[in-house]
Amino acid sequence: MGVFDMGNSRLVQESRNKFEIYTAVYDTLQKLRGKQAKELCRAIKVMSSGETDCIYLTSAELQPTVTGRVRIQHWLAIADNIHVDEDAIELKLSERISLNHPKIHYYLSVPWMTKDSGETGMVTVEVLIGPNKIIDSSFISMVSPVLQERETLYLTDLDDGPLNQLEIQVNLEPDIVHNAITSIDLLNRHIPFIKNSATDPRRTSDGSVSANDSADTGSESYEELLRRIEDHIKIGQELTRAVARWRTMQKTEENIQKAERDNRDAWF
Amino acid sequence: MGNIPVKSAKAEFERYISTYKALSSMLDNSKQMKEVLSAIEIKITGETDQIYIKNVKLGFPPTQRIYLCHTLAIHNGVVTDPDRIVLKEPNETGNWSQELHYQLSIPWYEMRLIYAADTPGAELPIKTFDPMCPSILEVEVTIKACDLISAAFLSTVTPAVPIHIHGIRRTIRDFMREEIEINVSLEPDISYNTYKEIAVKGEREEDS
Repeated sequence: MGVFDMGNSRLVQESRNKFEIYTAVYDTLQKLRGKQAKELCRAIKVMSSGETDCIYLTSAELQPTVTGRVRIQHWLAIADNIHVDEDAIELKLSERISLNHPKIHYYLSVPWMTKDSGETGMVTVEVLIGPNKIIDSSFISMVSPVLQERETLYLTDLDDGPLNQLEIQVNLEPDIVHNAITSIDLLNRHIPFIKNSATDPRRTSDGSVSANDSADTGSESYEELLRRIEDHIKIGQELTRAVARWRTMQKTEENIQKAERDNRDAWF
Repeated sequence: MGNIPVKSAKAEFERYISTYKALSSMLDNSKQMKEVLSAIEIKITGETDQIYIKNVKLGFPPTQRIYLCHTLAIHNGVVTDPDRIVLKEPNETGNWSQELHYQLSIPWYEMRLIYAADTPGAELPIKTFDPMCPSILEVEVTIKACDLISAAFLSTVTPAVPIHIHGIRRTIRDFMREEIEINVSLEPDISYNTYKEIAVKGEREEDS
């Protein structure tokens, strides 16, 4: 059990600064006025393909959420006889992004199938956000679009008849989760795990371990550890001997070749 | 839309943030830390000498989310595919507002070495693996309500693996072993409420 700084203080400070950039953009979006909003909309391109009368993109919105994240919400209208498997919805990032010209560029693929005839198809929504006055390049280069699978919803309260509505949310997540300020060990194996329930009294019969006994779970006995070290040294010594043998052979071969060359030179 | 009002969503998120702050400042209070540690139970099954969980940490990055970071040690000879790691929420406890429960399943294969004797013409051993016989390493985490982690907090978070941010990160330690970090974020499950909506593509006419 222990609490420690995961990164050094410089890294933590850097990631704090990065997150401040994120929150500054978030705050600006929250207070956005009409003219600025129009400007922002011009910098965001939303394109869709594969649409039919039965399934199509109705709108896309940029939203600062209550939980402190910026997200893009996509609304698709779907006819009653269309089935969309939420688990099959995929988010793909564009591979054409350069470090010098950062962009948020992703494709959202929504495969669909008609319930009666089994006809299939795919609606693809492409979203491209270039740097602009509100969402600048420093923000763009530190976020990653993440599909919020849990929040994909079917909504059926559309006024215009037999269409349902599918809501797909993509969060622009700050890409800086690794520099934790603090972390607490719930389980920590300081030495390699050895699968041997006899040497680990905390291990249950089914081989599982409990976090509460985490300090030494998976630990090996002292004798076992010594045996492994001895084995390791033995293998190391064997390898050293093998390398020495190989070097001697090489040397001998070189000497023979040299002697042959010398003899040939002397003959001619 | 069935949204709860922004005000109550805000209050829920404030609870998330106060839990985040309380947990990240636990450093000063060993009694609280002990209590939190005893409220989190980790069960691991399917470990071998070649693939095992090296550590599990509860982390608090500056991005105001609570993470559980699972580090997997993988020795030479074992293959894993991070894309096939699955996070499940087995809802088997009737009293599940009082606890949060998830299961990480990590499928893996063992590499086999085929030597020259087995494959005529081959001078060096060929590494191969049999994808038809995968084994699965499972990590099951249960977080129970305690003083610092309230039942109300647990009922408004959802475990998630944010794959595109450093959800799963592979590190080569040396030629003998590598490590995979799997981050499970405890996401506040209230983000469907927003302060503002900026339409970037408006309502379109139905195709005729």
